[in-house]
Amino acid sequence: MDVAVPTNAAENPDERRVGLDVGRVYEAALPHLRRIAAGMGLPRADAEDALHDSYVALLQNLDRLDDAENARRWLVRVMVNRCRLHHRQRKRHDRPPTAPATADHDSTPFGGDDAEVVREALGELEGDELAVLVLRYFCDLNATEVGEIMSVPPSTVRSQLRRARIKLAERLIQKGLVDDGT
Amino acid sequence: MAPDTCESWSEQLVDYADGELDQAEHVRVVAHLQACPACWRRLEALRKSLALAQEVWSERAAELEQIPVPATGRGVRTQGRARWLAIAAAAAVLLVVLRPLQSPRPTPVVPPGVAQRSFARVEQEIWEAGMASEMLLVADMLAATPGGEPYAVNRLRFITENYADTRPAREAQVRLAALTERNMP
Repeated sequence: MDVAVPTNAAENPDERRVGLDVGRVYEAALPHLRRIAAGMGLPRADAEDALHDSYVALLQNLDRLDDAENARRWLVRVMVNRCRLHHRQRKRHDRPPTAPATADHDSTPFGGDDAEVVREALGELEGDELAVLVLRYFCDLNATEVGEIMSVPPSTVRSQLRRARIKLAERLIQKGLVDDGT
Repeated sequence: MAPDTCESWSEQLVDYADGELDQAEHVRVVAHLQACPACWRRLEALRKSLALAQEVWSERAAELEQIPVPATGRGVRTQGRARWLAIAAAAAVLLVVLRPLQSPRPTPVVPPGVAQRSFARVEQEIWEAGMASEMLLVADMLAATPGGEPYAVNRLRFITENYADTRPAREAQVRLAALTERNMP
């Protein structure tokens, strides 16, 4: 929906500065936001809430987000933090990650039980480890970009990635889903 | 997993799989892989476990694609003093547009064979009048806000077009006429 916003720019030269196109910023971030919610295992209802809340948060914080790229990164950070909180709460209450409501065992290249094992293994990772995995390998961000979102240096991202990859592989070997050749 | 002597290679194997090693390290890892079947299997396990995770993520992402996108008001630019107005308007639009999504229109249950159709219709009309009334309230708030009239007009038109048979729609029609008259040159 295109809505022309009346301005008082003529009254104050400082206000002629063109600000953010909120819709464009949000739509540019949306694919990543969805992937983060998916990768971090948010149930559909929570993901829906998180997507809407992130948009409201964007509106509420426009004053400190003058640059579209900063705003997009900020939105991603908001979503990551929300998902980490959800992950931590789920782990604390020892709840298994939720399977997709529309999960069709025949539609995945590996069986539904196997997918459940993978979801469990991912759910056992620490929130930071899962977040960097998702940002790096599902959102296709590099270590520097992931570091900017997670507020850590790229070297820390690499360490977390290594630890997460090794843990995930070991969990899946223990659960018999991945063969270690022994 | 692999023998203890190969544990120390795990991190390099992740970096090797990601193409993150410098030339010297790359050569060193390749040389080790050629001599160590256990590390080769470990590398395969690392790759396969990531591929499985990506399958699970993709499956879930496909489900989340169906989530309706918030009404983003694309094209709204925030500019100086008008920025707060964009926030208020977008929040109002969100409230009005998303409300029906969050509270789906109730479908009255009518027992088969029972002549309750008129009752179901009344229930529907009450619901529509409630929605229209809520939107009218938002439109009034926008109209009372300096510079908010264009948004108010949009809301009022929406009410008259979508809830035409309700009393709020008739009130919206009156307000719309008044706003239009006020803005005539």
